[in-house]
Amino acid sequence: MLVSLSKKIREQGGDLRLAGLNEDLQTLFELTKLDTLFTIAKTPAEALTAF
Amino acid sequence: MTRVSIGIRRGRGGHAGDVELVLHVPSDLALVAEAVELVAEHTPTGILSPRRVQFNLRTVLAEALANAITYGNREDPTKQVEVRVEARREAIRVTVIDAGEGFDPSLVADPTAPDAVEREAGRGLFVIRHLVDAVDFNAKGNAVCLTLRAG
Repeated sequence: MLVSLSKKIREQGGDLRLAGLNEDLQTLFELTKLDTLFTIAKTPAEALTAF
Repeated sequence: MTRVSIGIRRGRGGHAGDVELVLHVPSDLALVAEAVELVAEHTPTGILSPRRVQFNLRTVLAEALANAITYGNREDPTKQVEVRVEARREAIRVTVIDAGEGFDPSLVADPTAPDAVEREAGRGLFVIRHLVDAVDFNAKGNAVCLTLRAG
């Protein structure tokens, strides 16, 4: 779902960034290498500064 | 209204603490969370660390059930998925059986390959293999047994 959403946002010239993942979600993103597809920040503020 | 049914048998493995669960889950992805909750609630998980219960067990069951409903039963409302849980002193085994034709798990592509990372599906079995100690399919490919050993 996130991959599909991210593609749509990029098609519109935007970028989907993630923040505040808990340990379980962080593990799953790293395992599936989805952490290479998304910008993942610790906090929403940090995610925004990377724009 | 279709619901998840559950049967519970205790002490069948020769030890009072052993538990067997049998669940029947209608082929509706909206019921996955309820089935996972029922298994987590009724499985004695003392042999596993809290993290392995709260994360590994729940995640792999949700993924296996979603696969069985989506690819096995093709969300056919007349078909059910059976989940059998055997909680013993040395391991917890979760078997998920669908009513489909089965598949060849060796043909499932690696979802972390560079050309696959952007795909929208196909990560479930990969995640399962990394979160349990053993993954065994039957010959037909419509039943998978996931083993979490004590620890």
